[in-house]
Amino acid sequence: MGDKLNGNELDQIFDEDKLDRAIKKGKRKSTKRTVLISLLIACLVFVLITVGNTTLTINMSNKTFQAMSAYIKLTVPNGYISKSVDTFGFLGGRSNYTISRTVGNKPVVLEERVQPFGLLPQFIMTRGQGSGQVAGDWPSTYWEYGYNKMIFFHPQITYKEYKNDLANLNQIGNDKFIEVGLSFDKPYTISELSNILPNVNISWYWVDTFTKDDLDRYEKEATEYDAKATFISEFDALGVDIIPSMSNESFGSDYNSFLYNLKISKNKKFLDIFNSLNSKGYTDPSKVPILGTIAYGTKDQLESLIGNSHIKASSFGVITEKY
Amino acid sequence: MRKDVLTNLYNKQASIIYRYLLKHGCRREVAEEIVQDSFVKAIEHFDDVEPERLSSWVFKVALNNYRNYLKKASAREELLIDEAHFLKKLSNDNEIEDILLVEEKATEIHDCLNSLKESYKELLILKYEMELSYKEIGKMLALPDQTVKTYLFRARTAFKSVWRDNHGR
Repeated sequence: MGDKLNGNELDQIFDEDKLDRAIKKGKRKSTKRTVLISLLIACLVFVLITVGNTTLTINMSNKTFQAMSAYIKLTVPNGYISKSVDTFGFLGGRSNYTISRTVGNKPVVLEERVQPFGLLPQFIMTRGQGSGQVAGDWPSTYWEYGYNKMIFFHPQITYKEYKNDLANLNQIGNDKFIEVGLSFDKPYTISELSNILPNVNISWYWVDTFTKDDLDRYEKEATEYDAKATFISEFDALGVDIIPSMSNESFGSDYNSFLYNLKISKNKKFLDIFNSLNSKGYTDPSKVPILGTIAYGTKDQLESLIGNSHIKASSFGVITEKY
Repeated sequence: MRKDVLTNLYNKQASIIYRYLLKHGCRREVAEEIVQDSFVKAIEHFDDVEPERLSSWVFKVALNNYRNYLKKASAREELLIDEAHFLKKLSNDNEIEDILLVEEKATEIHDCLNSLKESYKELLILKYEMELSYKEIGKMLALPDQTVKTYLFRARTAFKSVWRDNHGR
């Protein structure tokens, strides 16, 4: 069989009509192929972008957490981030974190905050309502979950009036665990404090990080402003968190952690403080001037503080159920 | 995609490939379908293939399609060539003149061709059975005319050697 074909026969087999059909089919297949390839490339690009974005965002999230953690440890006495939930977006995300403080052995949630991070600017709208202030009284500032914010008084400044919350200690029940911020009459070193505050649980030491300019400003405010309007807020009082149950012996290593947090904070104010502490020779924990502390315990445990002449001012912080 | 290029290619190549497939024992309707499919594929990939290689590309696609068909159908390739005609054409090239004398053994040409390597067999069939010109063969295989000549010379020499081994002369 086979080759006994003449030219005409062959022309009939492969005529113009068949070519047109081949062209149509070929074009259709070509289009399908192009669409399929485009889809595959789009999927690949999507996967690559997603992987790249996730890697980048995880990296930024870790860095943000580190900086935020240092910031919270510095600005919230004895505070720490107890939980952080990050939502990833494109080239960044949002970190929802919870600030807590341990009073004795009990963790207490103080506040929840949101911190955006990433390469693209993000706008966060926060809504809330606050309460008013009673005239002629110490300003009441609270954490989001209702706990008092403590206030402090610098020993080198003469204030018109000092807060004395310890006088109200007897109004608190025995079933409460109380935190109280103490301001001393003068700076003490860590070794001196063991005699000044015997048998008291300490969770934080307030360190003198103030410059001469700061003190001049506070002095001016203390002279010019109303009596109950001048003090140093928790936020401005920087200090050393003490790991519970380790007490004074751990002050050295805790102080070094404090210096480390100042150093990695990437915040100009804290870096300046770090440099100034270094230049003053306060790299040696035993020489660091301590201006106050946060003490904690039950009403009975704290009663020994009443009448202590070294304590110039006291301000309640968290008061929580003991059990 | 230029239709004139395709029309030209289709007019020239479709029938050659079709005939080539028939020479290899392919049924007409199968050969027709294979040729048609090969052109569909050529049109599908028209922009990816260099124009001067399009011809050989379609040929190669057709051969692959045919081999796949044979594999699927579990069939064997069977050469259907006019042996006497093949020998006559082959012997016109003077270095094969002695083969002429054994024309009575023409039926054994299949065996000789089948023992050659595929490219030589392909060349000999295109040239001496289908009587294509060097230029046409060159187009089918994407080779310059001179290379086609050289390869054909080698193919003939190989054929002669196998023939001699089989017939002792």
